[in-house]
Amino acid sequence: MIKDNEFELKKINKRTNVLLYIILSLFLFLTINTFYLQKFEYEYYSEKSTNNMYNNIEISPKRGNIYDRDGVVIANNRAIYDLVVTPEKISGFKKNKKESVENLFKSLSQILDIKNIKIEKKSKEIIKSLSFKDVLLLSDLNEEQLSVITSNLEYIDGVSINAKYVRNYPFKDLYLPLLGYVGRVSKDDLKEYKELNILRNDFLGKIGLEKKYNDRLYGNVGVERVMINASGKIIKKEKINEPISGEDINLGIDHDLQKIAYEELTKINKKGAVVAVDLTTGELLTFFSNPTYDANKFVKGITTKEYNKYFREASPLFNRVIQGQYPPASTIKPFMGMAAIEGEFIDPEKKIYNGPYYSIGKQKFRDWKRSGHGKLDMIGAISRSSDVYFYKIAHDMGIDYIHDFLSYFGYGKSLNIGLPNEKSGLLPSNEWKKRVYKEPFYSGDTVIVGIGQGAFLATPIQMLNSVSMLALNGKQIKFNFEKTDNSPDVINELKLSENTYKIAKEGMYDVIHGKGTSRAIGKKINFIMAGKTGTAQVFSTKGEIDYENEDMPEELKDHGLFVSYAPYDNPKIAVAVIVEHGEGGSSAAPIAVKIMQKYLFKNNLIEEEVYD
Amino acid sequence: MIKHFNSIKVDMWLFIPLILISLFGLLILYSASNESISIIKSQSFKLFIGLLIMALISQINPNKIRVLSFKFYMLSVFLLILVEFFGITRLGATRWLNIGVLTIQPSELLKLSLPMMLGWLIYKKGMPKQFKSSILYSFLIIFPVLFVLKQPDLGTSILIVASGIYLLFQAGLSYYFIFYSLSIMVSSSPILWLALKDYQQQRILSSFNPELDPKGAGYHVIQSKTAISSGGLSGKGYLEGTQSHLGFIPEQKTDFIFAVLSEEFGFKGFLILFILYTIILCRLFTIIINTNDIYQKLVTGSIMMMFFSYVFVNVGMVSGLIPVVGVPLPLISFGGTSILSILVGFGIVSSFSCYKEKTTIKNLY
Repeated sequence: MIKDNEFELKKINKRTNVLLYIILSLFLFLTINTFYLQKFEYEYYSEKSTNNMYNNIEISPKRGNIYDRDGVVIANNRAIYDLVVTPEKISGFKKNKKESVENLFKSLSQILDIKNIKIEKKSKEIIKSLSFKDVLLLSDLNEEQLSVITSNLEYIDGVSINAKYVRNYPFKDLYLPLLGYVGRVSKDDLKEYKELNILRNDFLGKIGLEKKYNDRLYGNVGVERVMINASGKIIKKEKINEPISGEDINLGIDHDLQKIAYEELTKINKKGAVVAVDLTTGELLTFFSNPTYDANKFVKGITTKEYNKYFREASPLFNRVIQGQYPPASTIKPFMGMAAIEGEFIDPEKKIYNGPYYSIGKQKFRDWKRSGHGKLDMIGAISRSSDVYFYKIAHDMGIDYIHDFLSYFGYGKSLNIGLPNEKSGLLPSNEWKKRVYKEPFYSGDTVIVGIGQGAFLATPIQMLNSVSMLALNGKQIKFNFEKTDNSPDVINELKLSENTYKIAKEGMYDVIHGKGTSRAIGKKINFIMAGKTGTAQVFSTKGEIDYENEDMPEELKDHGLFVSYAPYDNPKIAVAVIVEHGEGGSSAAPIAVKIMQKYLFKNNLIEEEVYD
Repeated sequence: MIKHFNSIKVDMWLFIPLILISLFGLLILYSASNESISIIKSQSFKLFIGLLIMALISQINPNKIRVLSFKFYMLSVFLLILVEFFGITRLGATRWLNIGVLTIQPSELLKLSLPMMLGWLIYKKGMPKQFKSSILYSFLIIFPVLFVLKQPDLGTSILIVASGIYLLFQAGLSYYFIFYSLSIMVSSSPILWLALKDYQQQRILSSFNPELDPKGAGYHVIQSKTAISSGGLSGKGYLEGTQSHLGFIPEQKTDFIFAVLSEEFGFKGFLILFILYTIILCRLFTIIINTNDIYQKLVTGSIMMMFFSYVFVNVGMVSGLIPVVGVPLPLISFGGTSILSILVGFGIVSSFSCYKEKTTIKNLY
C-alpha cells in the first residue's frame, strides 16, 4: 500500500514539476512579449496612440477682397448664419428621442416661422445622426430671424448658431464679366491648385479675375488640433495655426465708369461690350459685357431649372469683350488709311471723287450713302466714312499688304490679357483663304475688307488696342487689371511717319468736331475727343442690295460700333463699344462719350458733365 | 497521528499577495472606470467578502472538504440541470438561477467542484487503469459540460474541461494517451475550421494578425496593443492613459483591464503584477510538494493551473497573442463571480496549507 502510494506521490510530484516549468516558461514568454511591445514597438504604437486622440481640423481662410480703383468693394465675404441643432443637447433626448425632437420643433415654431423646414425629414435626420454632430435646420438667417433666435437661445436647449463666410458680390451682375465668380472646389481644382493646399469643401474662382488671382486671393489654411475620443467627439481644443486671409486686390477698374456701361446697355436692352483703358497706366477702367447675371447666384450654385431658364439663349458667361468677334466695319477706316499712306498708295491730301458705287468689272460695290460723298481727301473720307474711298484704296493695296499692316495693330491675334478663352479674331489673307476655301482672295473680297466687313473679325479688346496705339502714335501698351501709378509696359512701338498718324487722328477729330458722322455729339460736349463709328452688317448683302435697318428683324439688325479717345491733344483714355443689333454706330457712340466724360470729370480735366 | 492546526490559520504567503493584488486592482479599476466611486465601492465590497470567505474556508479541516467533494459536485450538476428549466436568460445565453436574493451561475461552481470530485475519486481509487474506469471518468467530465455548452457558454465549457484535464495530467495520465488525443485533435482541426462560422474564423485569423481587419475583428486588439505599447517602460502616469480615458479600449473595466494597467504603469506595472502572481504560483507549488495527501496535491494543482490559465489567457489575448475570449484578469477585472470563485479556491488551498500532519513519514520528495 505504502509502496503504491509512494509511486503515485512521486509521479504526481514529477508531473507537478512539469506544470511548474510550463507555467514559468509561459510567464517568461509573456514577459518578453510585453517588454518587446513596450520597448521596441514603443514609437510605432505611441504614434498610433497620438493619432487616435488627435485630429487636425482645417480652417478655411478668408478670401481676399477685391476693390475698384477708388476703394469701392466689388467682391468681399459676407458672414452667413445657420441655425443648427446638436442632438445630444436637446432636452430629454436620451430618454425619448422622438418626443424631445417634436417638442423642439414646437418650441421653435413659437418664435420662428419654420414652414421652410421639412420637419419630418429633419426629425429623422436628427435622430439618426451621431449625437454630438450638428444638424442644419435653417441656412442663411436674416436679421430678424437672427435676433429672435439669439434672444431665445437660452430657452431652447440644443440649438445654436453657426457662422461662416461666403463670397459676396455687392453689385451682383455688374462685375460678372470682369471678376467671374467662385464656386465649390472640384476634383480638377484640387489637382490644379495642389500647392495652394486648398480645402476640399472650400470655394475657388472659376472664371474671370477670381480665377486668375486664385493663388493670391485664397490665403492659407489654418489648422486646429483637437483632442477627440473614440466616437470622434471633441474633448479639448488646442489651436496650432491660424488661417491667413487672402490678399486683397486693388483693381484699376473704375466703378463709376463700369456703372455707366451697365446702365446704358441695359437701358436700351441690347447685348454688347464696353471696354476702356487709361492710356497713362494701361489700367483697364471699364470691362463690361451684356447680358450679365447676378454672380452671387453662382456662389450658392444654381439649379438646372434656373440655368436652362436664363442661359438658353445668351449665356452671360460668354464674355463679349474678349470672346465676341465682330466685323470692325468703318472703325477700320483710319487704319486702312494709314496703310495706304505708309505704302504710298495714295496722297492723303488729294481730293478724290466718291460716287455712289465702286466698280470692279461688272460688280458694283455701293456706298452706304446712296448719293455718294462727292470729292473728299482722306481726312474727309474718314470723317464722313466714305465706303467708296476705301474700296478703292483697299483694291489698290491688296489683301496681303492690308493683312501685314493691320497685324501690326494687333488684329488677327489674341492680345493675351490674361483671361482664358480670349479669341483672336480673323484677319484674312490669301494664305488663309487658300487654306480654308481652297481659292485665292478675289478683289471683290478685298474691297469689302477695306470697309471692315467680309471675313474680317475683331474682338472689342482688339479694337481698343488699335485705337490706343493710334492715340499713342504707335505705342502698344500692355493692358493690366490691377491698380497702378506706373507707366505701362510697352509691348511694341510701331514707328510710322508722323504725318500718317496725324492724318488718321485728324480724320477722327473731324468725325466729332467737324462735319463727320457724329458731329451731333461734338456740339454737346465740353471736351475735345477723337472717334470713329462703325456699322457691322449681320446680314450680308455684299454691298449690292439696299436695305433699311429698321425694317429688319431684331436679330438681323446691324451692330453698332464706336472707338474713341480723349483728350484729343494729350490722350488719356480710350474706349471701344459694341452694341449688338443697335442699328448703327450712333447707338454705341453715346456710351463711349459718357464714359470718357466721367473720366475727364473725375480727373479734373473738365469742370462739369454736360453731355447726357 | 496527532492532527492539529498551526497557530496561523491563513496561509500568509497567499493571503498577503492576494490582498496586494486586490489593492493594486482597485487602483487600476478606479482609472479604468473613469474614476467611478460606485464601481470601486462595489468591487471593494466583493473583494472584502471574498477574502473573508477565503479566511473562513481556511479554518475548515481539509479532510472535511475532501469528504464533501462529491456532494459538492452533485449539487453543481443538479443546479446546472435546473438552469435548463428555470434558468434566467441574458444576452442570448441561459446561465443563471435566481435563489432568493442571489443570482448564481452554476457553471462557475463546476470549475471548482469537478476537480475536487476527480481528486477525491483518485484519492480513493487511484488513476483509472482499466478502459471501463476511463469511460466513467470521462463521462463525469463530459456530462455536465454538455449542459454548459448548451447554454451556450463555450468559454466556461473549455475551462471546465481544462480543469479536468490538468488534474488528470498531474495525476499521471499517460503521455501516450495525451499524444494520441492531441493527434486526433490536430488531424480533425481542418474539419473543425470549416465547421466554424465566418466570424469565428475571422476572429481567430485576426487574433494572429489584427491588421487584417483593423476596423472589425482586429480593432479591439489593435487598440489594446496600442495602449500597452504606448505605455512604454514607465507608463503614461496614473489616470493619464489616453487610450483608456478616451474610450479606445473596449471592455476596459473587465477583460481588457490589463491594457489600462500597462498604459498607465508601463512595464514597471507589469512586473509588479507578475511578481505577485509568480509568488502566489510558487507558493501553490510549494504547498503541493509539501503535502503527501494525494487529494490535496491534485486539487491544489488544479487551482494553480486554473489561476495560471486565467492570467495567461487574459494577458495573452489583450497583448494580441491569442484570440479574444472573455477571460477576466484574476482579482483585477471588475466582476464578482470571478473574484468569489478564485478566493474560494484559495481558501481551500489555504486550509490544506495550514493543516500540518504531525507525522513521522519522511519527506518523499
